[in-house]
Amino acid sequence: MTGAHLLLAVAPLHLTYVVLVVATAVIVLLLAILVARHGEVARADRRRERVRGKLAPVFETFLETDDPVRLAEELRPAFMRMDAAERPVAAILITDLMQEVSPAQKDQLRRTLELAGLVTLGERGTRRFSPWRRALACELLGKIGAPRTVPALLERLEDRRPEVRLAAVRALGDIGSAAAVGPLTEAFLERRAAPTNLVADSLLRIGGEAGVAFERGISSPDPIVRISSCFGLAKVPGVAGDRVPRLAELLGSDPDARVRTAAAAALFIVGGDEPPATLRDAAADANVHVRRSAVKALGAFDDPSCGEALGASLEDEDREVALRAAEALLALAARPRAAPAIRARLDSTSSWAIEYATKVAEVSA
Amino acid sequence: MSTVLQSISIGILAFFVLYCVVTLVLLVMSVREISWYSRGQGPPRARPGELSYSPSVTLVAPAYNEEPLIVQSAKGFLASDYEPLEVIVVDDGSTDGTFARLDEAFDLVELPLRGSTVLKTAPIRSVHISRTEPRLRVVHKDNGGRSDAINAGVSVARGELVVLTDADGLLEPQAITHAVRPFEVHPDSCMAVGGGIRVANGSKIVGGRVVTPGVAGMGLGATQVLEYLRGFLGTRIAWSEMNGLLIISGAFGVFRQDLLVALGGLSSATLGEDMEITMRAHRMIRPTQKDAHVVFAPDAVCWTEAPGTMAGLRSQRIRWHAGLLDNLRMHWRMFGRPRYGAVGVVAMPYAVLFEAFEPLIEVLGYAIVITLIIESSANWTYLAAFFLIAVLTGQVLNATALLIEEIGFRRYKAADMARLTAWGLVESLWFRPALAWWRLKATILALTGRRPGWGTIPRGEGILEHPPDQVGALSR
Repeated sequence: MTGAHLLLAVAPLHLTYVVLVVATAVIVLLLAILVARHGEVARADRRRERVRGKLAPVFETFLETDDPVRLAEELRPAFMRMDAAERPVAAILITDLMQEVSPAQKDQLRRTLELAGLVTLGERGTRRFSPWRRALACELLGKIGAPRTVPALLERLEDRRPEVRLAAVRALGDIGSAAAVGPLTEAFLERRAAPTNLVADSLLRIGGEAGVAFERGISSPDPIVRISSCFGLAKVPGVAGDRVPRLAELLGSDPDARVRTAAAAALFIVGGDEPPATLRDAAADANVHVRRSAVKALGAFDDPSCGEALGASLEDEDREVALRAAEALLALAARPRAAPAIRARLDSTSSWAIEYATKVAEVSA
Repeated sequence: MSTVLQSISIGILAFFVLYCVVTLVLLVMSVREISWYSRGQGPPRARPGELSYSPSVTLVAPAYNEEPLIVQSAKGFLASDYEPLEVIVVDDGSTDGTFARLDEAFDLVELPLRGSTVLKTAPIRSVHISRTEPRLRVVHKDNGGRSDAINAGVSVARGELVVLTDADGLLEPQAITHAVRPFEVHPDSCMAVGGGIRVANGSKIVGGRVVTPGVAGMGLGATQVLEYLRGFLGTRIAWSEMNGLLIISGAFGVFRQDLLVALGGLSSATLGEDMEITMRAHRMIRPTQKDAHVVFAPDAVCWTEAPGTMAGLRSQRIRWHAGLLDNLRMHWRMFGRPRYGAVGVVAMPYAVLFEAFEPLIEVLGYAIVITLIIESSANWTYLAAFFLIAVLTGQVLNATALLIEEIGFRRYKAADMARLTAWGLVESLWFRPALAWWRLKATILALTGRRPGWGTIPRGEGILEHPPDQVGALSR
């Protein structure tokens, strides 16, 4: 700004006036936008209240009736009486209500919204010019959860704006339709459309059908996909019991320490009766993060043989590994199969880490 | 004489034009980005708690002679809505009753922690857990300064992520949840997240929380509120979008714990340790991991008490500028280098030109104006006109920052916004010249190898020369 003072040495006076006028105009414009924005928000608040008032009788009917046709008959005229600005507000209020009701009521409300034409409106919204309206429409469709909207959302996976693609991915996860598994799997494996972890999360919410994405993903050349696939494979419901061997194989063979860490962490989620041999070996891995993860995972397998590997880890040079080993031993001491042997080991072991973990457990209890 | 002054003036004019253009571009980028917040789609555009897994977080708060506030601060941190959370208060060898107050309030019991710390620190005397708040740990250690205390906390931390804050920081309940979101969405590439820092002066504070944001009636507080809005909302959002953030404020930042350890922890060799660790992360990670990024989360808010006197402000700003110069010197190798992405090509040149050199040019400008007035060669019509321009162009930046606040957050009432606008009109008369002068003093101290209250500058301490490879995978 100081340079402005120095213009006096070089600039003609009329140029000064031009700059002065432009700066003033810009400020006036910005302040006008500021005031307008303030007013717009106040109007939006009032509009929300107005729409809430119009919908209140319909909502009351909803709580009393289980007839979606009758509900739609009441909702549609109420909806049609609203102006263009009120309808999206109404749609959001209705989908908000959907998050609070039982699955059966949610299903009923969904059919009502379809009958009232709100779903069609949402589908049309995914093709609007404004990207934030497209994103909002995707979000709305996700909340409504009607499987018929999946094609419209799949189209948005190719949207030019990342915000819209992300909203579409999220909505597909919300709907949970198996029809989205194929395109989402491709997006996951190729790391496009949205951040890998969000695509993986949507696949997880779809459920067992999505297991194929993670099964393919653990042999991906991309380590990030392999990492996400480890967690996906561990969490996805309905995958056959061979996930432990697959994760164990990855843990024993992957050259990337981050992937091995993830595989061990995934084994912790899966747990079981007998730990794979590679998990015991991983407790002595050269990489400290793999060791931390592996030692924690050993605590999830109800097997007395884990005690030996965990006992050795109590002396690990990394303090966190030692603490996790102690916590794993304490966890195993409460499991049916492992308990006798592990308790005997705990009684005969003197370790600061066990003392630490015991004290924390006592205080936390 | 007048020819020389004219030549200098042309140079300064060019600088001024460039500064305005670049800053306006940053502001426009921020407005564009913030408009997504107003639609409930804040970057990285995922809802808090949306994902099925939340990484474990440890909050580390160093405390030195904080006896009056420490219990309230600890309770404030524990009141965060984020789970799973561990809070570590590091008593950095306080000479007052900081530790005793904590012991009394939280019924501490010592933990038998052994083994070497992962980061080198002053000796840790003991580590304690609270019987009444098991999520609270207190580290009792010898005095070693803020960086050392944080490093001790990071060494004891068990969370995958570490929140670094100050003992007097007032975190909003959802602050950690918002700040962790980028790690949830990008667990493999997000290195660190900086929160938005807001000035608490003038706000109503109850039980360690800002319950009603406000603006202090006096100029110093109000002008600093405006300055923080301009700095945090006006430009950091844009730098974050470009992945060119050079600083995560020490008042509230979140890092991966393994990354902090791999980088060697915070450096004690600089007054700007928060900027240093951010720049070091860029320098060490970016060349080998192209998608690694540092994010600014403006909706993750920490309120802080700004200096209430000119003397306090002077001391703070001299320290900040000395820290900036330290860090630009320590990491000058990134300057102009495309392998560091926007940090090397855009952010470093911007910081050197418009932050390091700006006070020199600004003070030079004031000197020329004064010289012209003394020589009676000043054209008073011009002087008045250009003074107005100076005020108005400053107001453009202020108005844009207020607009961003209104679009994205709406924390202040209309009367507060009007007060901020009014104080912005007069800041060119007193606030900016004072800042320029103090920063010039910091520059002179740096050029002569001294720093405020610290003797000579230690050269290059705490810098790793090789990229760290000991970073794991975040759980999800």
